[in-house]
Amino acid sequence: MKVIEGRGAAPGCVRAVVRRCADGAVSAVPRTVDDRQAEAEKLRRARADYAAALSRLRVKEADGSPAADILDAYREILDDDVFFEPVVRRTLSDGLNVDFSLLREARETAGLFAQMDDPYLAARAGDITNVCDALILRIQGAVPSDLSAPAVPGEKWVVFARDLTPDAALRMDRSALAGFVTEQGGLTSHTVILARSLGIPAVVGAPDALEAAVDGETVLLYGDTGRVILDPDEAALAAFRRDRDGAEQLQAACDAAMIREAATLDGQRIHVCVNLGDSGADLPEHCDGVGLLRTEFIYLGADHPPTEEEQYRHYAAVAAQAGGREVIIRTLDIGGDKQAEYLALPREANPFLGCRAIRLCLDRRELFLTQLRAVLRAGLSGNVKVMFPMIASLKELREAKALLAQAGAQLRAAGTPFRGDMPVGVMIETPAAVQISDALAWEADFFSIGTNDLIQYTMAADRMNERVQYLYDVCSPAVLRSIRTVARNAAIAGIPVGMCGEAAADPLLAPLWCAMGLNELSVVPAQVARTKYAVGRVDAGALRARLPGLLDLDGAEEIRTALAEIQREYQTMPGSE
Amino acid sequence: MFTAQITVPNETGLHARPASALVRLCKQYQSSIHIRHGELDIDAKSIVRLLACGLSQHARIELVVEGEDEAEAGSAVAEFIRSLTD
Repeated sequence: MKVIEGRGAAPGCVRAVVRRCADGAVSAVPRTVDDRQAEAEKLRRARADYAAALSRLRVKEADGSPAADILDAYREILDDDVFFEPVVRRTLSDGLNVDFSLLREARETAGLFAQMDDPYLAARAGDITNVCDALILRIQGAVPSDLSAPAVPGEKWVVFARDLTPDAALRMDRSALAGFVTEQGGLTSHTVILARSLGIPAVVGAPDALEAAVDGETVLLYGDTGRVILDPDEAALAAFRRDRDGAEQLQAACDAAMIREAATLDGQRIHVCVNLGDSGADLPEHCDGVGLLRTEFIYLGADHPPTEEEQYRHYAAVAAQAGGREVIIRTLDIGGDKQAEYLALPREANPFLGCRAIRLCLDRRELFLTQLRAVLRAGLSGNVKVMFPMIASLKELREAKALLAQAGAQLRAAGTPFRGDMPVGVMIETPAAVQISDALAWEADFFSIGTNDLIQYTMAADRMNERVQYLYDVCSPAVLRSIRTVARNAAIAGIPVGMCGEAAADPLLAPLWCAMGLNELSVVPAQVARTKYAVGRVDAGALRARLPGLLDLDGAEEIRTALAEIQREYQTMPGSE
Repeated sequence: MFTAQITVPNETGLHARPASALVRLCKQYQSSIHIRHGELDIDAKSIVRLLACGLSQHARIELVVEGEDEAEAGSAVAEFIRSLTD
């Protein structure tokens, strides 16, 4: 048994057989050639050949897919006449063999990029090396390793390489491909992007892996930890089976839940949506929409107040991508810890208790009206709703709604089309809003509970302050009772209530939210499947009867213990029985 | 010859995706298209050269276009760089 520790780059664990791909270790020695024209012609032919090979791979990949992006990046380098020009010139003037000239040019350029301490350029350095290596092998008449068909039907491979070229990876039979191990390559390399898009584990930076591995021997690959075990002993195999069973159960259960609409065992439909707005993440296919579209980054990433047109384009694009699914746009929540230069906001002693979010927007009306016009216009591109953050009084809600009406009037006067009956929601994240949620509910079309701020303000504890962090707990009776109050008041007024803080994605808490009658959980895209799975395991009606007892417990710790019991009872986490 | 003075407006600079898009655009024209920046003279049809020079936001550059379609190419490329946003 041999153990190699590399860096985990794409998650998952797999047992398969070793397949070595020794391509890429190219070399070339300088020599003089007689026919310089013919020598230069070799490069032209190799480029044409390689371009054709890349094109054949490219047509099989959908536009915008990671594999397509990689192939396009390679093609871009391959088509760079200016880059290859000095190689040709040197061959013609010095009479040196073209593979050597190319190798030197490629290493120099890649070295230059690698020095620049920029992950993007480091990855491009790898691309340039790979493209040139592929050309050099072609010029030298070498045959690339054939990984297109597995030796034994049904055999699964972990491919070992120095640094896998994407086209080598894409040539492989994907049904046989179970994982990658490379000696080189960073976490942003194309091998990694490809592994993630194929959903297979990858380990990079594994020292001497190619030398240690023997074709056909068994390998255990742990993509999370970066561990590679060659020729494992019985104990390692047993440990692997335990790990894999747990991971597989979780994955299979979540995969199955992902493509279904989420509903509790007793038929209560729960919308599972995503929070978007700073990562640039895409809207997953199988979710009920965007429960929270943050808009701050549009402001923070600019050196001027974003125009109506700039904002409109962004909102409309998300709305269009969502199709008919809802998109809740939260108006600007800036101030507090988030600042923008051009707004020239005064320093405040207590920014979290200061002029932020709706308070700022009601103060800077032109700024707010610009955003509201953009949102109203985007309403024609999909199922858009607007939501106001940090509401603490009925007056604020009424003023914000009046400004929304004013923004509509401005658009009407200008003859610009917009959605006139846009639903208006209140983000419940202050204790004040909880206390008056009965009144707010009559004047809002929906609620969304922002747990991150609600916990902080209810417990009067800064989550970043380690000395009071123990107070920052969603399971505090004060917080949970607040959420129950809001859910009840929404139900009485007959409006939907959702949740968009981190607590919405906690599988321990999902049964509680279902029991309280929340209609929507908005989570980060990666948590959609697990949230749907948890919701599907819960009997909301039966749990509702247990709520009073649960919320009467002494403290957060007792409530967590009780929730862990409920989690086991309903098995809201696969493999948690 | 067409020339234009431009300040790179976008955060990314002439790098990554914007660089790729610029090269694609330049290749549509017959004219030679060069970007001058201080001592540097970069062929804008070369992705490798463009990336190697890493022109970042606020870099002041001179666009120099020469050839049959220089007027059309020059204004299109200048407009493209000036309107970069990401």
